[in-house]
Amino acid sequence: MSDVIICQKVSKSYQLRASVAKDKTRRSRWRNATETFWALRDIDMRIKQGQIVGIVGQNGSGKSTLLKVLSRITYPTSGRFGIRGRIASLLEVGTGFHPELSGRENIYLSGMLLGMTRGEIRRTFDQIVDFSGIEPFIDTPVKRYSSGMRVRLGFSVAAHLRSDVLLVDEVLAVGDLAFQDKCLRSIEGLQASGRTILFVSHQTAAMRSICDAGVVLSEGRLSFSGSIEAALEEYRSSLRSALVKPLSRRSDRVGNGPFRVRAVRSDPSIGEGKLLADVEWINPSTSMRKEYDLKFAFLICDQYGQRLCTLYNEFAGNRLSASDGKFTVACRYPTLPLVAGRYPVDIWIEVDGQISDGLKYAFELDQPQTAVRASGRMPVASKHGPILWESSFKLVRSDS
Amino acid sequence: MSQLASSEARSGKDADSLPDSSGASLPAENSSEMRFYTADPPTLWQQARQGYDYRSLLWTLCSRDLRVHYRQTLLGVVWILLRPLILTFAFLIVFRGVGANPVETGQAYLPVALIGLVVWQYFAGATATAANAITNNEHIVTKVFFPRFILALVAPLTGLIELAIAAVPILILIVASGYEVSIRVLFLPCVTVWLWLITVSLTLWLSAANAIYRDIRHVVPFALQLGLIVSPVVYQSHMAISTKFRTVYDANPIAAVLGWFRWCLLCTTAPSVESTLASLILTAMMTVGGVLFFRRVDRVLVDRL
Repeated sequence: MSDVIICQKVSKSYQLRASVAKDKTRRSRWRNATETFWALRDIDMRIKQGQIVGIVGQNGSGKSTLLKVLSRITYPTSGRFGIRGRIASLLEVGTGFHPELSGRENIYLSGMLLGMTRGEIRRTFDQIVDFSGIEPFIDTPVKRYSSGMRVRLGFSVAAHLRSDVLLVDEVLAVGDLAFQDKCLRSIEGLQASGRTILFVSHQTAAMRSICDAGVVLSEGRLSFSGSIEAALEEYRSSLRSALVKPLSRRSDRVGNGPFRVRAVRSDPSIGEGKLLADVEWINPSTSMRKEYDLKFAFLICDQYGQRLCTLYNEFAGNRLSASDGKFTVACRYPTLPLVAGRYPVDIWIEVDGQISDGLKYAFELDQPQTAVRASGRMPVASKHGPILWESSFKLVRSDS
Repeated sequence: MSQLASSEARSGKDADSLPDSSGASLPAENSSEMRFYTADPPTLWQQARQGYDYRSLLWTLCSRDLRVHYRQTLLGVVWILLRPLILTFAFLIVFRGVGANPVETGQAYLPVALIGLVVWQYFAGATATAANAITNNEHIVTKVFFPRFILALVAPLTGLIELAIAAVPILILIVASGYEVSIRVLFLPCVTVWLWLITVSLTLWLSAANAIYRDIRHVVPFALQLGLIVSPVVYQSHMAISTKFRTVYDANPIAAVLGWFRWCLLCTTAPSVESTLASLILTAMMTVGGVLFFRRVDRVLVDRL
């Protein structure tokens, strides 16, 4: 099989306006105070014909930028890349849809934008309409569609693209389950016909089932490429590596205070879990009010960073009034119905509608081995899913 | 068909619900060359070829804008003619009121002003729309690749279609009111191309600049209002402008184009050679500058939108 995509030292940088807080003098605000941010750095890769490649990485690791560069929406800053054959990018469902136009008109508009010729659209038009399942409304303006119908129509156009290379960004996260399944199968069908697909998604299960190769991006660099299993494993361990650093030295936070988490602990007891966060006031310079209303959340995630549940004081209906100095936020909850394993916990503090502190992977929650009460058997997260739930079965005859 | 067979072979998945591959033949391996892309934008020639390759998209975008423009309107395309007609009568009343006749002797005011306003409507409408062409289409500019300059061409083209629609009743009106149709009408396409070129040169400048500095959006409507007064739209230039300012005034390409339009249709005095030459040179300079400027902005367009 020959290479379809070749990247050679592809880099992309953005000029960011330096944040106002950083420039001390007024003059530098008028000068072009910019910082260079490297969204992609020296990406080298080769993708063979017929491969479905999953791209994984944390938010901001450059996944979407890579797709934008490869689809020529934006120019790389340096380096070069080669593509064999026709390329189409699917960065959004329903690209170019105009609400005033009918479904029929939008099929043509969107298809053209995605690189189909008018003849191709005419030939596949009936199939597109069939696939979307909205035939009765095809001459209704799209603005009167439900959002589900719009997504169906958008994806149907995309599924009939006849490009050699397809770049897909997180579009499977939409639509109902039956339709998602249909989409996944259509992607498999595309692969069967020799098309090459680059695929960005956070749905690890979907990626595992349809991709056959994977690359991991971290901070704009290609940190791993290989089989999809190995790539997902690599990604998981890279996420965990953040935990080694003490919280006070982590720089991957969002928010500028005034409150910041120093440490997170857990203190489980039987039938109950407890998460504790040590918080401190970090802005001695800002004028101090007596009290602040804190919004505080612990976000419990699975191993790939997808959120499983949110423990949030607003949900609980508890007010947290904080003042300066140091204090501890304690959260008690009934034992989570989770299968044994280590679950990353994200932290989120909001004050007056502003993010005060946000940190992914602040803590790893250790869920002890728990058995299903009825049988004593222990489910495994990778096989049975992360949720542990009791159930009972019985057989009811229906032929009486 | 082998593709279809292979997708069916994938373990009983109902292949009929899958988009089938008929009518789409994948080029055989190695049949298409690998094409390389670098940080450098394509050359002018390559871009022109791209524009040609994407011509059907240009038409689709034009038809989108035309359809959207007149959807859910009662009068539809009648508006194209209604607006300049109402304005013409308004100006007629004003000029009658102050006792001025800003057209040359032997000419009626109505046709002179009507032609002026229809042409101006095309120019102003296309310029105002195209200035926002890239920002209004942000949702596609940031999601798919296509040569961006196509967006700057959409409004001048849809405008031409509207202009053609407006031209029919106006021509009938002119003939009906006793004007002789002379051989000069044959020059009409040339003058129209010139008008189109002026518009395109401006839209290239404005759409690119507006993508980065949104000030343009505030300046354009005001500038067009000013333009309606300074350009000989509702009057003829040699009737209203004192000779002192004529040299500067005659360089206004729109003034020359309007003069030639009236010359074609109403047999008015032709604009002077100097005025025509100056306007042509200015048009050429603006077009070349617009193309170069757009190319410059194109490199950073998506990043700075």
